Amino acid sequence: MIGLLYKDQMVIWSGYRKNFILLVLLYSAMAFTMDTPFMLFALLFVGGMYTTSTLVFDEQSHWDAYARTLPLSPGQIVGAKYLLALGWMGGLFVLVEFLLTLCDLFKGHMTENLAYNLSGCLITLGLVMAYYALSYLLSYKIGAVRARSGVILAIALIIAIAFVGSETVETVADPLFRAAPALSETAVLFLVTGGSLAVGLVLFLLSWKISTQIYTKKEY
Amino acid sequence: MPDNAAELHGVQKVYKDFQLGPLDLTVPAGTIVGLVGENGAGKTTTLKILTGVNLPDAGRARLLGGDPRDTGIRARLGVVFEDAYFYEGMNAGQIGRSMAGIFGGRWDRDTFAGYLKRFGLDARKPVKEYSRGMRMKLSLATALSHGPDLLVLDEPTAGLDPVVRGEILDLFLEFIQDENHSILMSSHITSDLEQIADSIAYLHHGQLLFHEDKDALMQEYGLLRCGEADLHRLPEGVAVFTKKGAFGCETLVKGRETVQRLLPGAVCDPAGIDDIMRFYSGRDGQ
Repeated sequence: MIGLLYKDQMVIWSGYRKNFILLVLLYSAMAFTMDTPFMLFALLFVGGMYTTSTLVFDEQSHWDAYARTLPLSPGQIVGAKYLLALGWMGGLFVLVEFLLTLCDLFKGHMTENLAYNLSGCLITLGLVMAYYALSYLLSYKIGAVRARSGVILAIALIIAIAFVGSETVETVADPLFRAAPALSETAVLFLVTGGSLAVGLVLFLLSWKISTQIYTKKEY
Repeated sequence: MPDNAAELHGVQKVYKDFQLGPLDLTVPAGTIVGLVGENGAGKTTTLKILTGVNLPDAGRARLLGGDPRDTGIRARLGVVFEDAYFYEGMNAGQIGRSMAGIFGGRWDRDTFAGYLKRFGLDARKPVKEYSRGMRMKLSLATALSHGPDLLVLDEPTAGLDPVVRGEILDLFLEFIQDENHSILMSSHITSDLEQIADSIAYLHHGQLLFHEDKDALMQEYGLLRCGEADLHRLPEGVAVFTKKGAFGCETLVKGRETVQRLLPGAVCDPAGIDDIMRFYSGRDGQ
């Protein structure tokens, strides 16, 4: 599996090195000069995009079929992709946190923003994991190129359903909120952060399991 | 080491517009088997089933005495597909390190470096800067550097110039010097197979028409040139297919010695693999 991780990392680094450095510089510049530190959160999304791109390269170079002839199990082949994505997300999480802290230090309001930055970063991480859970799953099911459009369509569909059903959600949720004991702002932040991260992680692991099953049955 | 490096027993694969098999094929250990057939005859499908890329709908594939899906078995297999390349942005050095991580202790860095040197491949040059011949050499270097017992090659010499083809064929002959090593190789360039193969398997419309010892095949099949009346003197089943022209008939015959005995005045040259394929295709076309 180390060989697979190395291969994909080399593919990403040779293909996206300049793009990555440019984005880090651009988002950092925006965060430092335009008071838009949340732009740094987008970097978390970018890491997943690079790793899903390796699936496109695998299809185009026919590596995906060739990998089946190597002494690797489907679990290892698929698992390497998900581990790589987690690795990138983890690495970028550290980078984004560092840049956010640096930004706050630079602007002199580090203490009050520390918890919000961490929470925002973790919530984004949860959303990014959920997004790539869907993206990876569709990539294995219908092919990486078609999956890109598929994910956008699926998200548009979710937003549309949420928009149409917002009144119903409010009708159901309002009594629940009223019945719940008054929570402090910190508790709400903790719940939302933990919930987002937990849902993202569960979806990501579920996607990993299903993608392995899809890959095992796939024909080339 | 089992007697057969690879076996297909009653293998079938059904697609919407094509059916492979039922197919029985064996690659005896220590031999080179050439797999020939027209485009779409099922060669690549066969190789993909044998190497565990795809599962058969029916029947059973055995590789080096085990299941093709067993990772331990696949560690002893070297595969080169015609269109299977590494990502073009990588270089040979990176590919070597990646494969070392995949094959672990079986991977021999010195052997890989030796092949790169022998083939004149710059380890730091990205694959996209390699010619087709260089890419094929890199694929072969990759397939050989973990000490495989069986090489499965899909059109390894297609599109290569005669010099590179010669180098690659020499490499195959070196590989087979170890009597535990075997090769199954599909090719459209039948002259390559005539040079190195021990036996020839002919796939035609998804069916194995024959798998015979190459020398016996060359001895058995002949191209008979004679008048139409002479053909009636041949026993049934000897003439495979006849092409009629303005100056007589050209017939692929099976049992050249019988034909020479019955028609001593007729010209009956040994048939090449190309001739055999051409006539079998012509028969079915009619």
